[in-house]
Amino acid sequence: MLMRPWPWVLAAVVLAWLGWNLLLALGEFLKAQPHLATLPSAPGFTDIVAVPLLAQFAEIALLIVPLLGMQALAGERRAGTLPLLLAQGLSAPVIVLAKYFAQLLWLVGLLTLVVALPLLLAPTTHPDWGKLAAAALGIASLLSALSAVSLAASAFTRQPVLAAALALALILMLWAAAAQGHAPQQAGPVLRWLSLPTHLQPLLQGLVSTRDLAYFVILAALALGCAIQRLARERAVA
Amino acid sequence: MTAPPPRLALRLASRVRAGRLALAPIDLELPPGEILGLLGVNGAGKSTALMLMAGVLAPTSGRVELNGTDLSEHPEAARDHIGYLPELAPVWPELTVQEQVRAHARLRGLRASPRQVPEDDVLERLDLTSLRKRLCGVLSLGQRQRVGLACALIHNPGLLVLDEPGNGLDPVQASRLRDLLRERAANGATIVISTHLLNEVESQCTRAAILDKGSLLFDAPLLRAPDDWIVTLGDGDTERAQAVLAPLSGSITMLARSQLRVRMHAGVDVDRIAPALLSAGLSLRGLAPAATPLADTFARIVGGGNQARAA
Repeated sequence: MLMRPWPWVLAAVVLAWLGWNLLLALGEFLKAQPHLATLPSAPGFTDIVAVPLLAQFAEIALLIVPLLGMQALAGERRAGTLPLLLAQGLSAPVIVLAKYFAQLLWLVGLLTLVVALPLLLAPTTHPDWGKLAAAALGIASLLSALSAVSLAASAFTRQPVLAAALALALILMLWAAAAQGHAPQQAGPVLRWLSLPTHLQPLLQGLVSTRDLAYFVILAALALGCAIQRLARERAVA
Repeated sequence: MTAPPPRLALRLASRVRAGRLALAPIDLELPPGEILGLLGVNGAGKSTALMLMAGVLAPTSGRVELNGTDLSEHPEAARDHIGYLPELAPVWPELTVQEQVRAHARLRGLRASPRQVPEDDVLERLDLTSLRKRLCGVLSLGQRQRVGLACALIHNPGLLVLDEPGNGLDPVQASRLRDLLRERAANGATIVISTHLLNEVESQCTRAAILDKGSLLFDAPLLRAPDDWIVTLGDGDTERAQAVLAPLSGSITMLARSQLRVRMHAGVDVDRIAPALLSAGLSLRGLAPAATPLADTFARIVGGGNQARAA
């Protein structure tokens, strides 16, 4: 993945977009300073600029992770290079986990750069480090789950575009599950629990809970399990 | 004392793909140094058989053993001992030739030292030295084929499984590849080649197998390479052609106005026919091996099958 040009182009576009949004948010923050100064416990730079920037990155991630994951297995299958990996004696878990961690490493690298954007102003803005760390942990957890879902989608097809569409559909369903206006009342708690924002929002607000973190771990493990099963089945039974 | 296990053994190995029996149970044993030519028409099950041998697919029933080890139970055995070239030589297009070969070496657990990775030697043998910095995505089929071969050979495996290795190679490169494979076999490697070309099998294999509709219908050693060739001339001057070819051949028979059957002298390479004719000002329209017992067998088995299907 790291040898392909388009992930880097994608990273450059994301960083440029978020950099521009940081400037806009900073302008608004400075404009609101006289008013904020009169409030007793006014929100600071972290609440108004840094965390919203990370939340914006989370929404962008919903789109870019399926694009990154689509090549992982579907692309290999389509190019005919998957047999090359299988012929090296690599087991399905090894192939899937190696792809997963490579993709996650790239995404965490991008997240580090995104977090660094507001941190460039740290000497003058005095960020709330705890809240920022919790938000970064939340985004990292979200990325780990999204990566696994995109990899699972990629394991079930040989068309990268189809893999991206499938991953996007799954991710949007998980994202919108909390929008329960049309859901039967008894399904509400289940849908709320399934929803990604239910577990991301507390982390963005600085509230770290093992239940929220466990949700992302379970989601990632389930998706990776599906991908491994699919690949192992491909070798054993077709 | 027990005999060592064969390098590769298929023990009633079969494979179902997409709900269809792609390969009926096959029994086959290949000792070190054997070069097996696997023949069959499209869809006969050659690629499936090769994927079983390379450990890419597990058999639906039966076993595939590498040096006595069951490949399904120990797929990691493939890493050190099998070199595999799939059909159409797939490559990672964003890597250069050198990176591609190194990636395969690393996947095989080899470190980058020249002692462990004979990269220069393999690239040179396959005429890839000048292409080492070129991206694989822009290579021609023949060049990609040679890169695929380099990746299959880089760790000096004991078993080489090659699906249509001659695809896209020009005659000079094909001849070099034949030499390289013979050399590997002489050093103890077992080689399995899938091909449509009978002359490729006859010129380099020690054994031939014919698959049809997923069943192994023929498996026998090839006693010797053919030395009879059909020469088709452009201008029909057969008398002068006979005179030119006489020093190279033991006997020459005229088959038609512009066609000769030439039996080469022992040790004389067929590659000398074309230059000899061209330097004498004669034109050459075709040069093909004469029909041999293997060609007859193939036609009988596959043709017979087709006739039976048609009936």
